[in-house]
Amino acid sequence: MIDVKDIPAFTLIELLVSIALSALLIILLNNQIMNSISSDKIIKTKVEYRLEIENILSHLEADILSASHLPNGQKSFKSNNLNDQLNIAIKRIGISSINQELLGAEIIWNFSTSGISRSIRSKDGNFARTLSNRNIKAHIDKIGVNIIKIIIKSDNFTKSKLIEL
Amino acid sequence: MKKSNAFVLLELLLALTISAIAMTLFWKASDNRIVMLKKVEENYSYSRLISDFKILKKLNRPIVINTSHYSPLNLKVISNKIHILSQDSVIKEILE
Repeated sequence: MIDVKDIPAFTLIELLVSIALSALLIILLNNQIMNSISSDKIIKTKVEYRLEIENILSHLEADILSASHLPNGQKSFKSNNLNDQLNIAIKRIGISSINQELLGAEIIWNFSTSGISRSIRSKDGNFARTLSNRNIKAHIDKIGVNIIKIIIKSDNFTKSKLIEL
Repeated sequence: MKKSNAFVLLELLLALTISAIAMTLFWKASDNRIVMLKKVEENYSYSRLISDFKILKKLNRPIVINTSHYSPLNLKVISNKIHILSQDSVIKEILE
């Protein structure tokens, strides 16, 4: 028969002290845990989203700068602004990824309350990509003959960029 | 009374200290991540500002910019000059 006294185990006092100390530590760490969670939320909702918009502005600028020229010397760039919804269409020449031939493509940017998307239409097919699914408002201001200002507004911030056509 | 091989107070305190250090490091890492992302955003805003400034200067237009569009950069436009007053990152310059 097993003698109960020989079995190694916690004593009642040790167990109570452990529980008391753990409870104390949880209370002390609770503030830190809550701060960590809220910091993480701030990063995701604010800072990363702001960077996402910065990236989109750079991407859009690169698309506009690479637009092909029309016979009148102007860049093939069309924009359509309606109730905070902005559509931009850019035409350019590229190389087909299928047969490496010269290919015309139309790049369409769509800014609306449901987010930002970029799609490409070409002989190779249609490709669409959602770059952001947050609620934004966007519009274009004409600054000069060949200068436009793209303004993107969200609930927390506004960013703008001048682009030379 | 015979002492058993039970968990002792010192071991418990050690375990709790390690947990506390781990939590603190996690918190610090989160804070550092925010600082790093803000610096990256500042650099983006700064290059956007420089690009916009060059375009306006090329057009010989007065420097009219909305400083809030370049947040988190702290800007002031005084008599056709942009003063970048302060920020956490190293970029600090006055454009003329």
